[in-house]
Amino acid sequence: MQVPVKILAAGLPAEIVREIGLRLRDAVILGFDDPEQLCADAAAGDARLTLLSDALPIEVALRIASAAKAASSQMQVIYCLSMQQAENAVKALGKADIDRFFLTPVDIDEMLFALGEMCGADVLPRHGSHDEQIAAAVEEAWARARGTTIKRIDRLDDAVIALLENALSTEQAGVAAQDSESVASISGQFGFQKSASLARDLAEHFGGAPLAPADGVLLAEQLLSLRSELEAATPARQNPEARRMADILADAGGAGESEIQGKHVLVVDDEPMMSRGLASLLERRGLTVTSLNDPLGFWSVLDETKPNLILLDLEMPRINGTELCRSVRKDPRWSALPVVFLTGHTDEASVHRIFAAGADDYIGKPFVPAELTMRLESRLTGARVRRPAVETDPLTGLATATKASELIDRFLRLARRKSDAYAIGVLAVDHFGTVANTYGRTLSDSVLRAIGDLLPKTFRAEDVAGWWGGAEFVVGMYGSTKESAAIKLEQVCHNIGALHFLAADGQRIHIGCSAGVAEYQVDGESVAVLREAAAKAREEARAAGASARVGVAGMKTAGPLVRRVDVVIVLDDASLVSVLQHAMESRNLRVATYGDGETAAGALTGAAPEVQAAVILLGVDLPALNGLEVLRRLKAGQVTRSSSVVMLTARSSESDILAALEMGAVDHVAKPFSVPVLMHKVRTVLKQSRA
Amino acid sequence: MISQHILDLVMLGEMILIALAVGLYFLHGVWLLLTQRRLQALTDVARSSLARLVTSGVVDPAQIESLRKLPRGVQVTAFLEVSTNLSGASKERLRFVAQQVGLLDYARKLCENWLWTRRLRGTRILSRMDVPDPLVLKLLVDRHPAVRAQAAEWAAAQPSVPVITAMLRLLADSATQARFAVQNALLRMGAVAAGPLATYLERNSGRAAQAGLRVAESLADARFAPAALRLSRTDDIPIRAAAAKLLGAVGGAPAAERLSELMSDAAPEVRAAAAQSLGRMQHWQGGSLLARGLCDSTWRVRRQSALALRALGAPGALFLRRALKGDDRFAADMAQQILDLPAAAIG
Repeated sequence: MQVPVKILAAGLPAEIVREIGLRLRDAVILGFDDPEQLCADAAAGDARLTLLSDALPIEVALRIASAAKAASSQMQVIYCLSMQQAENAVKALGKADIDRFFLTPVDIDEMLFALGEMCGADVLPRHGSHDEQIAAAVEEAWARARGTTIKRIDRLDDAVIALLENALSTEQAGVAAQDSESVASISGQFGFQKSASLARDLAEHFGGAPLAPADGVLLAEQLLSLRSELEAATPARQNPEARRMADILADAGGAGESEIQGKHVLVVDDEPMMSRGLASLLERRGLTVTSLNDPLGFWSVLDETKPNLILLDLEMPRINGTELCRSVRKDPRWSALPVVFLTGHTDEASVHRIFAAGADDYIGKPFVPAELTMRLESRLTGARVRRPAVETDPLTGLATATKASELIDRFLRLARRKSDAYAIGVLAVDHFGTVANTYGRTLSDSVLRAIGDLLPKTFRAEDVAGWWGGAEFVVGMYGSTKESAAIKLEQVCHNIGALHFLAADGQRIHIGCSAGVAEYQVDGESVAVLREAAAKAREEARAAGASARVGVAGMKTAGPLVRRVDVVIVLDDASLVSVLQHAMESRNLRVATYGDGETAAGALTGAAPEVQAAVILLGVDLPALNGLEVLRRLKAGQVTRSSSVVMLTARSSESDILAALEMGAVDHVAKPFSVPVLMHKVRTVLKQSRA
Repeated sequence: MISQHILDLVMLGEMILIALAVGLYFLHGVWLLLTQRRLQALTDVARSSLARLVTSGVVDPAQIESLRKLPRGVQVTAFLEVSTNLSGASKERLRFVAQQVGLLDYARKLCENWLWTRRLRGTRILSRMDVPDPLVLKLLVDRHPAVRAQAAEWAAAQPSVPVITAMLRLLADSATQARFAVQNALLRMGAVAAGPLATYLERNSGRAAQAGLRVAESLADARFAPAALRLSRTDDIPIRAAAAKLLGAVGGAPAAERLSELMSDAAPEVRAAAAQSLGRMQHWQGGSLLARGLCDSTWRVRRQSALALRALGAPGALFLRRALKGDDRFAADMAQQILDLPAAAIG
């Protein structure tokens, strides 16, 4: 059986001693109020660690440390000290052989892992943080107070009813005012600010000028809001929506430990004690740290180490931090480097000085280690996003291949966690080499610039568009299947085909482009494999024929992918179809018609849709599948993203129309309608979709 | 005794008759199929011609001529199909084409036919084409209710004083079909019908007034208030209930006061209607009365009172919550039911 490790502690807060006792496996910690007793116990020589802090007089700490070291060669002494007293304490403790210093406030997890390493004990996972314990206690207290509070609100109900009936006595108003005050006070104590404010309003009303029955309406509103607020209130509980959002952001941001592993931080601080402490702290997070105590050696160390982030002390002898920061910002090689200040001066003037020098952030002393590491990690992982000039191609204005790949990779990880679809599209200008050779570099650059301009406008903010080099662009589409991505890219190809460029001789040049798409977890798992599959699909589409602009990975491209029309009419009324078709065709619009919902849904959706339209005129009462169901399928197939649906309704109820609009229909026209009005609407929608 | 020879002859005759019948049956089927195909083809031609004539600004005499040559049945089908979907200038153009083709004259002739089915057919054509022909006005008093109903449908699109006056006379029509068609037409006319209807209600009582009250409730015009107040004091329970509903739709202080009185009416139908109307008016001052209505002996009154309290918003909710804690188990049950209803379920 393993003998428990004995740890002695004095001068440490009780909760730290308790946490060490709970979470260090096979360790026994003895906390002493009387340092003399600890001294005697340490002299026995069976303990492995002695924990001291600057709460003890320095001479006492010195004596204990010496006694502990003398008693056993295996004994290690740890000293916790505050940043303010660090310099004096270290000087005073210089004679004692202290093995490890911890800065207070102590990061308990850091300390436990360090202690575990020192005494060879495992650290148990956290059972419930201090914050959680507090939260649980507050919830318990609220559970006790809730009943009384609700009873007070019931009494307030009676008072408001009396007011509405014009029967509120002065005494009853007084009691109501008191009840409201009590509810406000209790709500405030538990942090229910809205409830407290509502209750205070009620108190003011009941305690103020005499009330008229009509005031009862407003008071009743407030009272109901107060009741619903308090009935739903739970103190110190995390909002699940916020939590979910935080998860997504964390995933998208990708601020995982792996991302900062090996990143290099240059710590510039004239106090060796401080820079050693910081190095120890940051190295435990997997960062490589170079400490510099003489700011005059800054430039040579900077060139030598090429750090990813500089952590600067503000006040240093001979040259201060802001001067260093300013010179870093002036040097084009280092201007993008994140600079974070560590300063004891957090007054407005100093903060202004820090940011004026070009700093990215500052951390006030004394700092909380967890906050310091979190903020540095945030800078290290987010630095490049904030500096688009470094990772954006100047010609196209799009992310470079490296950057786009990195961003897509993050979204792929998010898609895996959330089980969402993700499609990658490769779009390239056809015969780009010939265009460049024939019309020159200026025109080919214009082509790339125009596409770079078009892509961000066409895709959503969460989609990633990047220039891969040459004539190739890559687009990552979150939440899209390859079929819906193909439709979108088809539209992009169409729009690019509609652009014209002026050659040097004034000739109008149109360019063609083609694309391929691949889907995450269907055609591959990594960015490289998916891009490869999409590029292959593009090649196959091109080989299949000129009209096949977009290839879908894993599908044979046979002839034209879709029949493109301006308007699809889905109606079962032959005479109306005839009128509409004639009206559209006489205005040079291409029209396709379907008489039943099932056929129309089949033709407009699916992996290889038969037809694609800018506008779909959809009736409600259709045979086989009704219009709302067709619309639902169009939405599921993401057709509503590329086509505008106008519902033609006759006997539809308001709720049906609302349902249709919520499902993605852009408008509805009630029958009987005026043909010129309908045509105007169709033209407007067409214009919008073309824009 | 009948000889075998005669029997054989009879059997032979029967067999020939059966064979002829079967043959005729199939021939008739074939004829129907061919006719249907022919008519379908002709209808398609008619639709196509109409589509061109209606959507383009040019009148093509050749196409009008081709439409004129089509059988009447095909013309009627095509014009009526298209007319239901059109309004405005397109409908105007359709009427013009119908006139040119001779369809409107044909409809007028039908309207004067002695056979009611033909009159109905003619009225339907003129009605669907929105033709303002005084001939149809006469058919509002046709001897057949189906024709009167069809004429009422036509009248909805022709709101004028003589038409509305004729329509109001039909509110007391003994035929349900015609009465409903008239109510529907008056509703479709909207505010134009409000003035004459208010005068009508002030002068009439009984069944004639009841049908008018229903229309008036939906039109909710302030001019109905005096008639509603008068009719709310009649002995006829359905009339009082309908008047109470109209008071709720019209609103105003006199209406609220009268509705508060009606909350104590002897007839539960009237109390329920009064509660419903107080809720519709969001008359929060009636909260106490409605809270008392929660304790009514009739389920319908309790239900309407609870719904009305819910419609009052916050003040009503306070009364409902108080009822939950009250001694009346039925009131508490009803209050709970209504408080549990999602907001979307409250009309």
